Amino acid sequence: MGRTSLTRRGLLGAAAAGGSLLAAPAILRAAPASLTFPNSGGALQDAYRAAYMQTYTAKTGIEVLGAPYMDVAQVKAMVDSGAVNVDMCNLDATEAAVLAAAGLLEPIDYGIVDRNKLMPGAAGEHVVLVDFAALVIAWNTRSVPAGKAPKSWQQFFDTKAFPGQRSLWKAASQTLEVAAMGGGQSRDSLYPIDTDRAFKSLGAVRSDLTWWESGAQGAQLVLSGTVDFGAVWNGRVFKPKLEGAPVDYTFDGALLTPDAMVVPKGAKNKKQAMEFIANMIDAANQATFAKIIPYGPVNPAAFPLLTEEERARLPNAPAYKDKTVMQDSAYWAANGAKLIERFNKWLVT
Amino acid sequence: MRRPRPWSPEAGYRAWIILPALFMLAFFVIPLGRVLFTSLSPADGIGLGAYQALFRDAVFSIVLLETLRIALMVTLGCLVLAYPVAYVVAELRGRWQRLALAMILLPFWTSAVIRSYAWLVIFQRQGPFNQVLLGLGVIDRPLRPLNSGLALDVGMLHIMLPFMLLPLLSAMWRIDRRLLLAASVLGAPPWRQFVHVYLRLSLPGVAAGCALVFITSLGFYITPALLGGSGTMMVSQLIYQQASRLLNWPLASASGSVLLILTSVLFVLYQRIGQPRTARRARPPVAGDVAEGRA
Repeated sequence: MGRTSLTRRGLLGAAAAGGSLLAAPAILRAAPASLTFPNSGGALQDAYRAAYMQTYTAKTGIEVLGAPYMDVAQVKAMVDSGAVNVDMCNLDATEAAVLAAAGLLEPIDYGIVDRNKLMPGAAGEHVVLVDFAALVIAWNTRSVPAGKAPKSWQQFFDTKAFPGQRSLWKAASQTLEVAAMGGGQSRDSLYPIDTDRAFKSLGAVRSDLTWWESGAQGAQLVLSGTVDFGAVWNGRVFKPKLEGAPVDYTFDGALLTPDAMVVPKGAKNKKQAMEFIANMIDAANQATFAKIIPYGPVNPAAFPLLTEEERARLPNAPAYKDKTVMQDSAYWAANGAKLIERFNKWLVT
Repeated sequence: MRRPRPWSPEAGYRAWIILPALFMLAFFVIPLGRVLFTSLSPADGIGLGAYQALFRDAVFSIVLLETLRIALMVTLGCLVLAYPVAYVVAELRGRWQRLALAMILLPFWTSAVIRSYAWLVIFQRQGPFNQVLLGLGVIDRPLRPLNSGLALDVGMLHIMLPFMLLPLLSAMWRIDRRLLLAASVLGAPPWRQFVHVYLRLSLPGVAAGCALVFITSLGFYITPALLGGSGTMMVSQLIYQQASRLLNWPLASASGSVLLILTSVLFVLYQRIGQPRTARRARPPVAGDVAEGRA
């Protein structure tokens, strides 16, 4: 007797469990327990967590899990195989533009993301820019006497007036822009890049040039004095300078290189991903972010929330408006193959 | 009562080979097949378009030759450095041998990325390399080994050294020392004992080590990225650019396929002519082989 009733109870329990299992997908779709968010990790993810991920969780109860960086090829493989298991990705804007051109992204829902909060150029059809880093001229203050450091790209590429070993990123993107400016192309009409001018400047410094291939390496070259000055990402020398390392840099001529948010095509929690992006461009959150890491906001309303000192270390602060230029990621999506091929050829021949 | 048959490879256990075969099929043959297929299907239809594009301008050929040159330099360098070391270690016994093996294997277990960064620090302008040379008065201003490609050769040599040492050691351990004694009894001077007996019997290790080092060197990515000279590019870096920056998978697949085909050809060559006849017969070298070799 006892045994049969137990079995019956067990059956009932199983039926109930089965019912809730069937219902589960609908509940999950309504409100996922978590969102997965690949990004560059490290200091950048720490800033994202404090400014954007935790504030989103506080608002919605949905946890946001950071995940290892997904590059363009990984996103394509994921979308092509129909197994999209991340909700939104943070990438370099030129990479995001390549994905957009290949049709691998969901369009941004500007019903959820408020376009009016964004600076001009930050709201793309498939891509939203979320912060501005910059490629800047940095120098070793021990090996370069005060006042003798190059303060413009023309000076950077002038080996007579500014002797010394210099370093650049061993890549076409960003390097061709600063080389073209070094050859005299004006900041206001940088695109299309005058490649003849760019390769002429590169040729002029060839024997005084050390390449870097990772951001950490680029900073290390200048910090260790292996080169006297170099083109470096501002986030890599900001902290060493604060901590007293022999390094200084200028935002004069800085090339603004935005980070972007995208939602891969077929992402399962599209609505929540858009809400997450909307939360990222909130002025208060953008200000929190810029206080942690020296990358500037895309929402201009964030600037008044920062102190003078905090603003001074952001490459796109209003004070530097007439000294910097933003990288054109659409230009790279359209011309990247041609430019990289030509850069490779110049490099190896 | 029937006695159970002793185990032998012929006794029906051969069917177990299906497991590793399935694994290789799923994770090696099929993905590689897809790479080959992708290389044949560029945007404008099935064909050799990607390969034509690859060899249309000189960049790929130059980079391929440079990759082969670096791999060859590293292989020769490893052989020259590893042979005497392996010779000495093979003579050691007991605790000393274990210590020597640990010293060979410890760097082997450290990530190639970390070791590449270590060389980056050693070779920088104010690094130990320049400090020592300046201090000794060998040079009067710092050298730039990071620009010239010297740093890349040294870094890859260091990373690949265990891959040469281990096959050499395994070949040398199998050499029957009594053969050297026999040679000396028959009147061979020491150099002749070494060249005609020891060196010859160690050749399978030399061939295996060279094949391993050369083929692995062809695919290096992170070390040339960190330590490569001003004009240095290796094929893997081109593949990364095409696959990851430009999403041109047919071209990336074609580059990878050229490397794969080249590697396969080299491997077949190694199996055909690299190994002396003794090793091909898959048994340890014995006295008779030496006689055969001389005949």
